[in-house]
Amino acid sequence: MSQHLDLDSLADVLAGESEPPHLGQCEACRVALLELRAALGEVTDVLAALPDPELPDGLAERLTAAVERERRALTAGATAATVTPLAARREDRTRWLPLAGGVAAAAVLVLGGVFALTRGSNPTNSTSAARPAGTAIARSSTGTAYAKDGKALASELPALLKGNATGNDLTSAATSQSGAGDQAVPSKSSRTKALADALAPLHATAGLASCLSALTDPSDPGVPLALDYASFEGQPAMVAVLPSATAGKVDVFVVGAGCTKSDAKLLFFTRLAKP
Amino acid sequence: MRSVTASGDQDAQDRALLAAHLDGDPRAFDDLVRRHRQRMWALALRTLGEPEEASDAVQDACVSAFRGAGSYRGDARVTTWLHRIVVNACLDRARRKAVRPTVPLPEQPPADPRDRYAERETRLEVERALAALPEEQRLAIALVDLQGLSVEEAATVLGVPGGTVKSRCFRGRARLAVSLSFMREDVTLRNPDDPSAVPPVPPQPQPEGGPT
Repeated sequence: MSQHLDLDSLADVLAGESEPPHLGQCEACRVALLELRAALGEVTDVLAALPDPELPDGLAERLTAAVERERRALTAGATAATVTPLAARREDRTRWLPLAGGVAAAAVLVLGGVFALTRGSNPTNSTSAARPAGTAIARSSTGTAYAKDGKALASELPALLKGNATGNDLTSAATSQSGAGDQAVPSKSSRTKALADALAPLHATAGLASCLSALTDPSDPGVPLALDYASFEGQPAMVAVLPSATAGKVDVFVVGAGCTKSDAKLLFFTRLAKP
Repeated sequence: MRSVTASGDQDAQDRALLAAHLDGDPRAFDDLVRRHRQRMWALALRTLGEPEEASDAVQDACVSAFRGAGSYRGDARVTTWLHRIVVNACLDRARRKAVRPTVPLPEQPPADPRDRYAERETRLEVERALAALPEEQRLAIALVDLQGLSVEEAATVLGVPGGTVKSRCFRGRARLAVSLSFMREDVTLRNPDDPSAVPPVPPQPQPEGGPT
């Protein structure tokens, strides 16, 4: 008599994929086959009763953000393709550089000259949230400790859009921005100062333009509605509020201090009703 | 098993959303992701076994689907197409990061208050047994027994013949039967993974497209 069938061979028999001659000669293997058939029924029952794993916190928002970034990149690419003369597209790739440089320069001009800068507890701009996109951005430095539950983002949103959000003035706490030494900001806690220093690159016009180009259509850099320098889950972070593809909503991106054109360092994304 | 696969109506809605996305509707793809993200997550978690990797794989899959929507030919259900993209994203991640897909599930996963103790223990035992299966068997069982795809659909997702999927499912279930102690000890000894197992009979010639 040939050797007994192993588990895989017995499974293949039940799958109808093989009929080994040994089975007709071996009572033990026929019994094993019947036992396996019954056991597979139990396995099927157990698998059927297995609940779906819960979607982890934040994954839904991550997916929405990832798709949104793809959509914006696609839109930007389409716009660039539309405005690039056909002749330029036929030329060497280096011909694109002047165009890209022009877009970046436009972004810097908008960020440097048109933003309505609002600083936390000392707002200088309280225009309405209905301001036309591209003409002014409410920029706050509240130092708010935002969290994944999104509650603080939702509650701060109206003030951020109006430019009258209050909180720590991170901008003046940043030594790299103010040019002053530590003694110049004795009233600021070390945590606030650390936040301000970490976010200093995103206060600078070029750094901010680079970061926003990762989130917005670079051919239309005046799109953001509001910015806030703060923290998210304990990390230095900047909140950028952008118009949404969904009517009546705004897209809220929370990025880390290292946000640049090549990597947004996205920490969180949510889509909120426009106040 | 998950509720039986999406109905024809659901697939028609999925196809309409995909078409709307390709026509430029900015909300259509979000809606498609919202409809499928739970199943995509479940498949990724059961393929990779590690929640962070699975989350990254689902995100990769969403981006791939967004970029590749124009390549959907319509010869399979949209959910089948998405399953294939998730499986590819998982396998890419497993290979790229040299993360073994059989990474054990956490010993102390977050407690789900809806779980009763016994149910939770059973669930964990089954999930550990699934995680210990060879990748090809775990994928087949995840697609057919847990995601509710037909053998033919799973074959499309995995790019192998239907007979291969069927064999992988039965072999995987047999191993689960052993690891979950639904089989007698002497049969357990025939587990091909067990060095003390009785040597198997020589392999039978397999028909074209048979089990692998």
